[in-house]
Amino acid sequence: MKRLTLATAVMAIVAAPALFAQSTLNTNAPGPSQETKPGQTNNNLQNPGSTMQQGTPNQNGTMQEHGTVEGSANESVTGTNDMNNQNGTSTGTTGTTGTTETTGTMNNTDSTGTATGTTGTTGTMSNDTTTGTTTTTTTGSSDSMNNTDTTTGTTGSYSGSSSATDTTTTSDSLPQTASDLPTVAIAGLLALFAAFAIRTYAKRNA
Amino acid sequence: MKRSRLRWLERALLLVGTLCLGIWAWSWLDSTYFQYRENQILDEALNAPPKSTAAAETDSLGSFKPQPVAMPPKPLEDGSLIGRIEIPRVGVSAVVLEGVDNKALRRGVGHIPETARPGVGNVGLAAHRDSFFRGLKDIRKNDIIRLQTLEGTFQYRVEWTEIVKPEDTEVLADNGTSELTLVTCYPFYYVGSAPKRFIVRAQQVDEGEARVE
Repeated sequence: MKRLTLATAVMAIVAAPALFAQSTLNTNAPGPSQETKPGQTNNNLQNPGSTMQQGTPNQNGTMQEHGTVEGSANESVTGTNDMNNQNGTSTGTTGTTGTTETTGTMNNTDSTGTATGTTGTTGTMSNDTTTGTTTTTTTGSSDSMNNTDTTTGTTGSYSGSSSATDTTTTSDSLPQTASDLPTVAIAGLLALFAAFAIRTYAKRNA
Repeated sequence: MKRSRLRWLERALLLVGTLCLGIWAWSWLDSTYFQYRENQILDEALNAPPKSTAAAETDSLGSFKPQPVAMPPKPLEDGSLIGRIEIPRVGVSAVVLEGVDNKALRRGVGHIPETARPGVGNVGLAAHRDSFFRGLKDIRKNDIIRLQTLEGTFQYRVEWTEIVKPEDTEVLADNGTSELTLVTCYPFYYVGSAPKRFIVRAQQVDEGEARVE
């Protein structure tokens, strides 16, 4: 009997963390498998063990693009990010054929001319193809993150549609400028008046 | 038995009355103190000497010179101080805060977030008719409205007033000119949520034009 109890207890102790990890009560992000940058994991999530702060874009907009991109792009990105203490330069050439779908957040408030933030890209890409040229140069600066980004891209062709939705919605009515305080004050005065009236009535009939 | 019930009723009414008046008094004190403190902060900021260009340059990092680009104004947080509105003829003077939520409107005049910032379009300001915008009931055409902000002082001259429905948001539309639209509830003497809105539209004028008045 003791053995059975002991075995059950050991199994419970072993199984409990595994059950907890799978349960909805566990709200921790999955741990990083590899750290590609200081303070950042390969899945662009902040390393839970890192003390570095990850910059939060102040934005408030959603960008959605659905379309087809063909061509090659030369991209040069130079950035300085004070909040993350990251400095870096990246240059590369990519050739893209296929369909891409991008959903992300644009930082339109603090920075100008440059879309920064978190983007996620899914789609099918292959490294052969190139037609047409379009050059885009964007330079911007950001107050909050002190970023200076330069992006130069050469792309083939793009067809598709993009839409940006701002989260600041325009209200459909004028502001409610009626205060409840006068009503509260009047109710209070009436209650006090009624209380004194009751007292007077009670005294007279005493 | 009857006397006992009356006594309980009297006590309950006394309690309710004291609570209601306490809420009203607390709210009044809070808004009065808030106005006093924010006015002081604004005065200090307006009277502070401007930062010299040389000092600004030494603050920057080395030879880094950002390219001049048109920066959109940063969205302000709800409740942050924008400036002060004054309509001397009708005795209106109150600090202007960002947002039109209950707290902002209880403590001051609220800047309607969807509208422009002073000097760049149609600025929408709203306040309670029974507190900061009580004086609007006496406003007339050609009255001067002064809006002091950290970006400068803007003068507006009243063009027209109108009573509209709450859904008539086109009064806040930007026509491309520097305007000021004040919004408050109407009728002015009404207990509860007033069914209409009183609109004051003013056009920006320069300081010389305002003095002529």
